[in-house]
Amino acid sequence: MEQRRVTDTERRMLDAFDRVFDHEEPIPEHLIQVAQEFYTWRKVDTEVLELLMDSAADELVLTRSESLQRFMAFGSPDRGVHFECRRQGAGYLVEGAIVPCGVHEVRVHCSGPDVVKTTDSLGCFTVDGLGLGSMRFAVRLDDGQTMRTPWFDLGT
Amino acid sequence: MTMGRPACGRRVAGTDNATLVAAALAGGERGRRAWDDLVLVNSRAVWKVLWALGLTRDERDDVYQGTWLRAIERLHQLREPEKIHVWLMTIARHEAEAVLRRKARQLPVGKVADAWDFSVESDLLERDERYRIARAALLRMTAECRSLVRLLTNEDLSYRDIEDIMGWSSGGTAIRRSRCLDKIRETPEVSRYLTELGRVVHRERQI
Repeated sequence: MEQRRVTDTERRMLDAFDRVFDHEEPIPEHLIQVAQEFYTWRKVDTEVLELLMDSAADELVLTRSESLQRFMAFGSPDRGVHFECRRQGAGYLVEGAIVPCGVHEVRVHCSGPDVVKTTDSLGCFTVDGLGLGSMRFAVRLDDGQTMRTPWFDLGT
Repeated sequence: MTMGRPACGRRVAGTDNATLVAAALAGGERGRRAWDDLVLVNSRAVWKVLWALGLTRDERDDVYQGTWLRAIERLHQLREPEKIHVWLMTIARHEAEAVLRRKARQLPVGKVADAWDFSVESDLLERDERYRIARAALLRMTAECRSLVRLLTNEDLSYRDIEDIMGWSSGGTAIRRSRCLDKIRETPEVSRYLTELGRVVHRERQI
């Protein structure tokens, strides 16, 4: 790699600027921790769930006056993420279940900050206020295994 | 791997990015620790890109997370592990573009939002003249110049790297840098400081 030639004076100047950036544009500590936690989601260990059913694709979208319900399932009937969603204000309410049953961690990756939920003992969870745009679910099962859905859009 | 915990944005003594990437890919507890260190060592590089792109605070937080998420998913595809910082910064730029597109905003390439106006403890300014001068110079810069300086403070980046990261056409960064540094040198604070620094360096060389 060709290196930039930097004079002593320039280096001192850039060092001084770097100190200012360091001080006035710090990285929030909690963000660093979140990034470190992503290691458990790496692909090599994480099962990627395939789309099993999408009511929108099956033209089973139920339209009521102001709400839209959609059912989606990833994985298989006995292992995966199954949920239904409906519009709630400007966003979505998602009610779902992780199969098999158990107290699992569900992380929703979306355009905003990750949403993290813990399921009840039956594997059920609720997420409200989800925004528009692409998202996916990542699950850490109570036995330590991880799985995730592909990215998908709930709607626009 | 035996290593102390690196400070955020600082090189890891006795190892390097390529070693950390290899360890992270190998998995296990050692891999997790290596990933922790990769995040620590390279976070500031990613963060600087997000500032350079003029993102809002919420956007920066989102894109920072998205960058590391993409990175862990694609780590096995990284072709030059020793340049993971360049790879990460490029991912950050792409992630930023995606966020801005979703928000129906145009990526302000070359027209960065000029929102750098922090209050800082007067105590620090009074007791640290070099800091005060640097800060004053940064405040006088255009947002574009400040963005470039953020990237230039990462010594590991070549001009080509900066152009790749920011999606700029190749060849103009050296000139841009030169113009920018010239303007910085002309600011009253830096001009006085450099004059004094020049005397010090001259004296040091005579010794």
